[in-house]
Amino acid sequence: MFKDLMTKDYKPTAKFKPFALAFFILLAAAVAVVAIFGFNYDYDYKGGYEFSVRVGADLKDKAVYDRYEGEIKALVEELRDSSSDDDAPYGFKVVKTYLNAEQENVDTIVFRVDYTGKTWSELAASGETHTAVKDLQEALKNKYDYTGADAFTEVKLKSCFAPAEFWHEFVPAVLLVAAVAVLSAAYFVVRFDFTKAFAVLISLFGGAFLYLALMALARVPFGGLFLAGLGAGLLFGLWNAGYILHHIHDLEKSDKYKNLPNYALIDAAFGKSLKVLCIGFAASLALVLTTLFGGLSTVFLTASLAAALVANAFTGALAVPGLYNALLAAKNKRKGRDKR
Amino acid sequence: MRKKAIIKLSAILTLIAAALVFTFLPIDGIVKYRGVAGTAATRFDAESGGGMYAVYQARVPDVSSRARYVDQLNARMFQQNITVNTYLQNANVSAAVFSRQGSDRIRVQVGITEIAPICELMERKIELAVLDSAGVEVLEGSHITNARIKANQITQNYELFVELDAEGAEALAVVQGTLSVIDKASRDLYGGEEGADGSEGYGYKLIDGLALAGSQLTVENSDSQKLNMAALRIVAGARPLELKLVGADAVSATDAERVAKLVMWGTVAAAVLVLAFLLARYRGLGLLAAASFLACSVLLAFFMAVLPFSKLSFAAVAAMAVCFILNLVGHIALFERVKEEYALGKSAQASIASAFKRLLWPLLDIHILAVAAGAALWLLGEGAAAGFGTVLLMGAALSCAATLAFTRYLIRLAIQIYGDGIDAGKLALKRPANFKDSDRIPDPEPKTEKTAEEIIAPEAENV
Repeated sequence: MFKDLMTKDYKPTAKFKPFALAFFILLAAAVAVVAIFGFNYDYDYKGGYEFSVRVGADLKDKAVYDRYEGEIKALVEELRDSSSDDDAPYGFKVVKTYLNAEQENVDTIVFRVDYTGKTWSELAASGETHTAVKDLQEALKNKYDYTGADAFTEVKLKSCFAPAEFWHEFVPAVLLVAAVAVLSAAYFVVRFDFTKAFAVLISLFGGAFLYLALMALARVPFGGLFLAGLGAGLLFGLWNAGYILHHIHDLEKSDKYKNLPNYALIDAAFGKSLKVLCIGFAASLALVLTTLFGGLSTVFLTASLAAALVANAFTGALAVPGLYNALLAAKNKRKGRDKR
Repeated sequence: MRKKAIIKLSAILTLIAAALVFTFLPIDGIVKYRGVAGTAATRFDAESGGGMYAVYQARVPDVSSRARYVDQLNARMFQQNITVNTYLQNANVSAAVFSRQGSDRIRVQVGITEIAPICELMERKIELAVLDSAGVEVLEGSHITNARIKANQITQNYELFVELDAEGAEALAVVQGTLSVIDKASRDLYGGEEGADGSEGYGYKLIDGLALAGSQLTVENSDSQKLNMAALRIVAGARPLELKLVGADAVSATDAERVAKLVMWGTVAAAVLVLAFLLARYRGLGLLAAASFLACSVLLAFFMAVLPFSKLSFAAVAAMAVCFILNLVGHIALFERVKEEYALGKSAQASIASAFKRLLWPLLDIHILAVAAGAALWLLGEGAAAGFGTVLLMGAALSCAATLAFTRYLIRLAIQIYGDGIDAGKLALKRPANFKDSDRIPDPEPKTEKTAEEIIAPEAENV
């Protein structure tokens, strides 16, 4: 069955019009998904509170750790639900808990609290932050009745200027990745020709949009992994597109194929590349899944890489032949018109 | 020949196995190196390995004038970045991550728990002075209003303009000769000839007359990067901003263990998976490719542990995964091509040679692009982008060498061992069902060295 699928003549150029329509609808949908759902900015970019609670027990014991983690989560949820004001619920949510491993006796549990989905500048403007956080602090103190000075550390405020981090750190990095994509296309101009490079560039940007939409849907927290996935996707896309273009380039020079019309030549090159790209994709996806061996906490890393692979397999391998054929047809049409 | 090949292959496989053990397992008592699993040799970034962060706020007269200080603050951040990272580099600690928070804050995150020396460096003000060729201060740095570089189309050189206020321009109008801009406290040269103490100089001269008339000192240098740095450092010191510490805290180290575990078990799992897949699909060829893959992974892990600029983070792990994938798909492409060529009727050796020849450029292309992308992200990016770029740069270069050179060398050794009797079935190579002996394509004639007569003959004809 696999052999049949790999040897079937798919003729991607013949189905280009419906395919192109689907491609652009998908891109529009990707933009809409990002616009509607937005990214999961998470604690690091949206801001939040970080609490440290010294519980006085060895938290290296997983059972003990789970017990305290459960207790704290329950406390936060209880406080959230007990808000007397229905119009302004606390909206607390524990987004992450971990151990403070800087000390030899690990007895401090650190957890981060997301608050009502608002950014820190919005919270600071409304002034509602402090009341809610103090209530939580009070509840924690009551629950863990410590009197020592360091029993319950101060509430910490972090990432309160997250939008600035976004503009000063993330946006330049994304622009850098985009610049690398453009330079890669320039490399293809040197290696092949402008039309092929332009097809690659369109497919790379398509892949980037699809990747962002998948990340928005999967609610992967915004941050470094976003960038890593974007960079990884760029290389996956370049490999897929480059492999097909090399076949096209070879066939354009071969005696057997060079007199064929463009679409037939491109279809043949696609057919010749399909098996390698499919096996490569399946093996790569399996390899990406091995990142789950780091534990469930690495699920977002896996999700980022898998999204990059899937998005760029679609645009890099499937869209490039059709795009190249369409660009070539448009170029030939313009040349014909110029001659007339 | 066969014996030699067996010895070479065994030696290579033993080396790979030894490197695997050496890289991943701590070997206490024998060598100091603790392997990737031990945090002693692996530099984690602060998010993963723990450390401190500090946030500084610039003291500006009023909120409405903050925007005017943005450039000043960027320049100050640039200067502090150099100072702090030089300190950290000397202490063999991973580089600090600087970021801007809002219009008036700088956040610095370091992978050490002792923040005091960093605070000291952060708070140290730069006070500039302009010295004449005799080393006499002729102008206070406060008269410098800006510094920028511009390309001179006529001289094909870059020029650094140091703009002065009216009072400064007037004071400099009477000075002749070479000038230097210097930090009073550290005596760091931000321009002028190389210092007697070996401090970095930019070898430029004051062009008097025209430039001074425009309230500008003009200096020239063909190295735009050095000049750009000098300009930024001059801006940072011209109007020293007072930075106030507004927050400092520890960054939890809990991720380090997680990342180390992920790298260790993820690599082992990936290697097992790749080995199983390659063996199942390509048998003998797959075994050699798996050895090459393993060598590439081990070397990458080793370089990540020992190179000072490499840090282990989730972005770095993602880059490692990308490099493994590049290596894997490269081998898949090669071996599928070998299978195709063999099905056409070529011999096993000829199919292998042809596959490597035909796929040389597709594989080189993707690896060149990956190395270039890695270098760009490493040099121009910050934080996660730089971390990703560093590993990508190393990994793509290793993957390229492993796929195109090392695998090929291993295959050549294997062919030397088995000779002409190499069993195609052991390489998972099959002829089509309707294949006839007459379809066989003979091997190309091996290139023989020309005899002296053959070399001389055409030349003699030309004469």
